[in-house]
Amino acid sequence: MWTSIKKEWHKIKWSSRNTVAKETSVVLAISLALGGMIAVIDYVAEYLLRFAIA
Amino acid sequence: MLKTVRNAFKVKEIRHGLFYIFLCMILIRVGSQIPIPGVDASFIKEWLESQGVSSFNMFDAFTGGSFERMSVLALSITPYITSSIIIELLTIAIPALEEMQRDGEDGRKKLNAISRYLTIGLSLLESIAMCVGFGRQGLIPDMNFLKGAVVVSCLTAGSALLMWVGEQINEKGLGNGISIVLLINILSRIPQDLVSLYEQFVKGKTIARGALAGLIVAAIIILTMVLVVILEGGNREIPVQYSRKVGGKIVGGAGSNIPLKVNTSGVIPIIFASSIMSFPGIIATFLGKNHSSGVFGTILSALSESNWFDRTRPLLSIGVIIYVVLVVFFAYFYTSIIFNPLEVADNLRKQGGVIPGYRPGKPTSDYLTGVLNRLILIGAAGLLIVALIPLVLNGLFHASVSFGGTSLIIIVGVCLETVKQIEAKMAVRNYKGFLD
Repeated sequence: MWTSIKKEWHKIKWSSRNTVAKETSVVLAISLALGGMIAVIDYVAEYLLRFAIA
Repeated sequence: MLKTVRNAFKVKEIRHGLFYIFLCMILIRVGSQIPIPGVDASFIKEWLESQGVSSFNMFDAFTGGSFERMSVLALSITPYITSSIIIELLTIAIPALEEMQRDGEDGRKKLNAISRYLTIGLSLLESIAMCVGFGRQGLIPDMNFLKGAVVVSCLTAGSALLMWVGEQINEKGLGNGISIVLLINILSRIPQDLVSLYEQFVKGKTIARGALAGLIVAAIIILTMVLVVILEGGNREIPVQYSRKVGGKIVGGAGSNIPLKVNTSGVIPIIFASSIMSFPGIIATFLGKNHSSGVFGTILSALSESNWFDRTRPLLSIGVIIYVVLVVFFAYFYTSIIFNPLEVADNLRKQGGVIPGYRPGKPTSDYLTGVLNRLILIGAAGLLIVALIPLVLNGLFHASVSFGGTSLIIIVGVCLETVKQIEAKMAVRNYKGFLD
């Protein structure tokens, strides 16, 4: 069982170090940019709603 | 990077798609701030704090805090996801649905219509349950039928609106609509989580200690993200040789391969396992028995992710074993639904393809099943590592963050999928992409 899993493990093609670094940085950049944008939208929406309710 | 972003915006299709997603993002976030008329908006937040319920944590993260605020989008897009999964499962059990699935574009449209109706049904059911369960406890002050009907209508309409937004993104935007709605909700919690991490590990410490703690936290987040990227990128290529006829004789043709992803089932096993484990806690909470003592109370606590890896209560970490078993089980179960080796072997035979060393038909299907079984185990182990890192840290250092392994897998998967789609559109215009 374990021998066959070990064999399978060696046949798996993993992304190169370069690809992993690029993909991670792209995901991080998008997440931070979107997270920041969403925070601004939330802040403005909350402020406007409070203003509208008051 | 900036040049690539500029180039991306030069392509009309990408520009319009991104602008559409931006508009949807504004709609979702504004909607998640609008409270339902007639409800006590602070009730759920106070209730969650007083009960110490961790069972709702993942649900609240997926709703982008809408559930906690009890806004009109409190149900989020989860009823649509649930109905899509139910329909996918039913296509195996009900032949009529299976036929629709194979019926091309028309069949797909019919299946989508059924999914939509089921979404509305599930939303109604969930909102009625929420209204009845929480209404009399204080969610709806001076509750009566009319007020209940307003709450149920708002929640159902909110869920239907998000379903529509998801489908519109599919049609006019970029990437997968449901995934993008989910991504927006999950990312909305990040600023709050970063503040919580700062307050817990950096604030009030000396500059050196604070900087070191900040670096360690950032390193752990990036390391988990790298692991998810590696897991998502891993695949096993099965070589296939296609034969072709030349002058009446069959000769060896072009070679190709079937790529099998290591993480065949994506984030589904983690979601299913977490949902099943949180189910007893949710029921006990509704029945008011979540603070029970004795064996029942210990079992309930052991099933809650927030009690695992706690040094002061090691017995409760027993729940991890059940979690591991469930994740592995659902990895096999879900893959068996989405990938049928018999069907693949049959299609290969029809197209004249052969896996070198294996005869067409049953030997090929047996070989594929064997490879898949081993791959699923490797993928499930990877998933468990990614999912357990944040839980171990939460348990050992009592860090309270919502972006666990599940959220990270969704963030990485959706971002990469969308970026790759943008890249494909840029490549057509000979522009260099983000990942080149």
